[in-house]
Amino acid sequence: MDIAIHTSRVNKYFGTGNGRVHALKNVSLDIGAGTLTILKGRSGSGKTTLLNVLSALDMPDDGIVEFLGEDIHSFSERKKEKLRRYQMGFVFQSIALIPVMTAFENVDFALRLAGYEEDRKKRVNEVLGRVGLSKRMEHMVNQLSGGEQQRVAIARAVAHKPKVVFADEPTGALDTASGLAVMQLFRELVEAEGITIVMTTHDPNLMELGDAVYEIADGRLVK
Amino acid sequence: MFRFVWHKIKNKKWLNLCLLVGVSLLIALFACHPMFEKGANNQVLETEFLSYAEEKNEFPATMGRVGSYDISEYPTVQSLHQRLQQYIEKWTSYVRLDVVEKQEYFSLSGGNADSSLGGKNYYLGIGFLTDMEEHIQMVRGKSLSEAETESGIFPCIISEKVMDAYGLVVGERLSFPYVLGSSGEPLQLEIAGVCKESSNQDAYWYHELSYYEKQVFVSEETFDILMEKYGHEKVSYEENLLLDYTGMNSDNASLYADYIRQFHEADAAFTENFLETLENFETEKRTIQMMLWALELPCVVLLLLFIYMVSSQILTSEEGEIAVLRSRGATRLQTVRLYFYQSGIISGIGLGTGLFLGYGMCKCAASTDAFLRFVKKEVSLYRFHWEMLLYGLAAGVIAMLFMTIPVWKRSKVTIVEQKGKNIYVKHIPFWERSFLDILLVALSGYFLYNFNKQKDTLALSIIAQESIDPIILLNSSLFIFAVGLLFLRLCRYLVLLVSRVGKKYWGPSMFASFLQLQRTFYRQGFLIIFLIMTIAGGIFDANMARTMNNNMEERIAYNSGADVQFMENWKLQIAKSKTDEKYRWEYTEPDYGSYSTLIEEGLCESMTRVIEDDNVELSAEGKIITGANLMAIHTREFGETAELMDGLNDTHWFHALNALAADPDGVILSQNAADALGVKVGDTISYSRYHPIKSRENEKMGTESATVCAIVDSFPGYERYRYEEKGEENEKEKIEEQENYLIVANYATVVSEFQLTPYHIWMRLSKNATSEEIMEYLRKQEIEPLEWQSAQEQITQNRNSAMVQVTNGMFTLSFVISLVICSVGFLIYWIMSIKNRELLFGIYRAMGMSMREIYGMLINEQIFSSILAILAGGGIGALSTWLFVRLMALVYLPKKHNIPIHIYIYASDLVKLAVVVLAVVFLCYVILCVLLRKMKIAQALRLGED
Repeated sequence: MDIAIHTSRVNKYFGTGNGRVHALKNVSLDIGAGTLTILKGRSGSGKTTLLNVLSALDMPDDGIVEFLGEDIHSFSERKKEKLRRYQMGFVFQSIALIPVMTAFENVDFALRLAGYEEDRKKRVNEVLGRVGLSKRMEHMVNQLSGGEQQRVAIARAVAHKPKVVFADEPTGALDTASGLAVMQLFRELVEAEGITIVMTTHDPNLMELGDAVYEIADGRLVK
Repeated sequence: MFRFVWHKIKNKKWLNLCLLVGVSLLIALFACHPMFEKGANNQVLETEFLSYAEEKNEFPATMGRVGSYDISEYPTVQSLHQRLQQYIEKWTSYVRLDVVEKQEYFSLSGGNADSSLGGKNYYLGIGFLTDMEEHIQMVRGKSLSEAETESGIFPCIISEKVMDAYGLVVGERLSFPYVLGSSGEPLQLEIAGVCKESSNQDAYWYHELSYYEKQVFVSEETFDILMEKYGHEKVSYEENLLLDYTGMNSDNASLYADYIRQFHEADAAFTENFLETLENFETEKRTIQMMLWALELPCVVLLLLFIYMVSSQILTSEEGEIAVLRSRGATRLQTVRLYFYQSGIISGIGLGTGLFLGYGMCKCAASTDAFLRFVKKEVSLYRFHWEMLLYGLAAGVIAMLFMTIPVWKRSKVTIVEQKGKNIYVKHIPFWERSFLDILLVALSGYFLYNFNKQKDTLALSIIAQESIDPIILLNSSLFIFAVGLLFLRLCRYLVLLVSRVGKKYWGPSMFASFLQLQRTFYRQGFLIIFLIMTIAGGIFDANMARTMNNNMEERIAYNSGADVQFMENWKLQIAKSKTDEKYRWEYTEPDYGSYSTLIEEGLCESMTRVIEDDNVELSAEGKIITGANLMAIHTREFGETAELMDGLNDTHWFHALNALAADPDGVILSQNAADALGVKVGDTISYSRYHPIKSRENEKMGTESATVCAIVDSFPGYERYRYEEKGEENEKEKIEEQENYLIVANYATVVSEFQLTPYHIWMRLSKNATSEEIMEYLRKQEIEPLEWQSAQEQITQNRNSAMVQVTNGMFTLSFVISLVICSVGFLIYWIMSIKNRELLFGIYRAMGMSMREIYGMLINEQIFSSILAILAGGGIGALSTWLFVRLMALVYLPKKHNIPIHIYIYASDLVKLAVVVLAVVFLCYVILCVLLRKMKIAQALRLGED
């Protein structure tokens, strides 16, 4: 199995002086390409920090993070932007859709950003169809329920066919049924589109749907 | 509760500080109103009294009584005095003004008196002035108290005027054959002395001695005896109280005017001389009040918009909190009450700062003498008034309402509704759906068209001091607001068009940016309207004030014709010719040559003599003009001394002077005179002047024929129009416009044909000389000019007149307030629009958008909102200047003139505005860079998690 992301002895601190917090402690892990990897842990354990570091949204203070074999933290800001733009997709706990756009436009925007050259409309219809929102794609995102919004966010994250999708607590704001549906969707996407998905969650019921599960406690990789 | 509210305020200290700035300015503007109004009113009142004193040469505020009493009822001076005193006490119990001085005069009829010097006979009355002896000095003879006469002969004194008029001498006895004593003997008086006023400055002499033309004065004892024993039935009296008019002010003037009207109704013998002054003041007061409100109103609206805008910003950022409060069981009323307290605290602090600020603003506004020019001058008439507190409180309450009302709408929403609420669905506001913008533009256009159509009638009613329709003043603001709304509509269409056309070609950032613009356009709408109103309003205020000031001063300069004009007091000698029995007259010319010292001393550059006559008859080919103005000039000197703006005549006015110089019998005619007579250059006309002797003023003293050598539209000192009262009270238009006709001839020709008549001396002052220095020179030479006119003095007077003061003050204030709130408003909007979208920027950055793309997006948004609004503000300001300034100038310059109203636009004002706007835009850019640089994507994204 190819390795999508490799980290070695990653450390991350927040704050200075007495208030300094050691958020990640010597975290080393490998994430296989085309897998659904789950980072689990309690609130404040450091899983979101790890996800941010893996996705180049944040910098580790030391250690190595390799994305498809390249050390991403030696990248320039411009190169990191490109990486996020073309090769990564994001789903946030806060859903974080663009409120002035419809569901369709949100997905279309991601395609425009990634310079998607094929028929954009077809692709938007395709991914929104895959997440079951064919009939609601012209709605403004605020008119959709929480679960629907999260599905739009997932559609947006995968539309431009990124190598890796990072999802931070994607089911956090959803009820159990919607959460399960989202997980099912991730599973399907991994299998159908061959995308690598790295997600965080604290919900023990979802673990069995992952290919690999890492537990983080107090900034350390436990398992 | 209070601590919670205070904590809430502290939490958003910057926004609340901005709100405080707006509330303080609103309170200050309101508080400044009564202080400014009363100050301006007092200034008007003071000017009215002073100009009355100057024009009529008498004390400007007197009250009294004129009439007669039966001697049987009031047999002594004391009893008369007591009776009159009762009136005085009654009057002054209502009109509570200090009595500066009192002149009480009693008289008895005398009739013909025979002189002891034989053959002479005079018609004289016998008078008594209370306390006279304390206010006179004897020129000849003895005073009444010192005079000694034989028994049965009473001493009297006379004024110099009576002495001169009748040729009376000290010691002369006067016998009154119709005033007989109890035993039938005629009254006999002996002239003990000749008196004059002890001082010209003595207030006692309300009527100077010269007023009592045919009177001799006796002592109180003599007067009592004359009343008792000489068979008089009636005694006449005249009582005049000189009142301290400085005690009258805008608060009591109307009340006093009312009392005086009642005194008149109740007492036919009551007299006064200041009701007309007070009534004029009432009219001016109403005008000032109306103008102040009309000039303030746009600024008040702007401030309320600002307050609404900032409080809406605060509320938008607190929507979540409000929804949480509601969800936790707080009633709507409780939520509103929370914000009501919050706005109360802000208004309370604002009241404190606003009152001080208002006081300072008023003093500043009062010390302007032109737009944006503050000078050191006397502003003590503008003082603190308790009404300021009242106005301030009212403004505070209005501000509280404007801060609280938006809460009511938002307090409806619970957290669930708030989350699900869709603020981005296409929502066309009411005004756009109902085409309110177009209706308002049409309404404003209709007003403009109508006022322009009635311009002449309006001008006449303004000259007649009738009240001004406030819509004339407010229409420009309505126009700016309406066109601002229309612009907003068009701007939205433009955004839709551009985004539709360019959709296929743009990169992702432009795509997002246009979607943002389209879907949040009306949230920016407020800022757009606000920017347009401040910028267009600022430009309009500046141009209006400049136009008003410059045109007023230009007209003053034109009407003066030269820096200084004056005429000495010429002596006219009239004598009957022994040969032909005709009256001959001759004026004695003062020493004109002595004025050359002024040129030698460097005070004056040049001077000239100008004979002016406003009652000349012109005739040509059977057509006659009467009452034309003649100017007889030395062409070269006149050309060097007088001034005329360029561009008023087709050719330079020196051409006309040259033509006149070349032909001693030539004349220059004004265009209207040439038209009325039907003559052109080269034709012959004749002109006649009338006798200078009063009794023969209807007789022509000669007619001269002349050749028209030039025709001009304008000439120094020549006003084409004059306005006269029609007299008929019931007529709709009380004032009518009449034309003045001008004829200019050579000085030498006029003098040789019509003899020398008094001339004015026109002077052009040296660069640094003042007319005060010329006056000082005249004083030193003991010359008291009969007429005096200084362009400088008139300009200063004009600048200090209440109307100009109010306008300059208010325009300056509005302009400065506009600049302040425009800057603060723009900054807040900018910062808030970034702060509120931190999450969105976080999403964009997480998705791989570069900082450059985000800057590009924001700049694009700003181009279609603020930048376009700033440009539109400039354009609308220019448009409203072009459309409205001439009409509004009518309020200040209603009289038609040789000089048409020019619109003045000062680049410096526009630069000031531009510098402030650019500085704010630059500051916004810096803030943008700092905020975006500080933003951490991971942190920004967390913002959405709650």
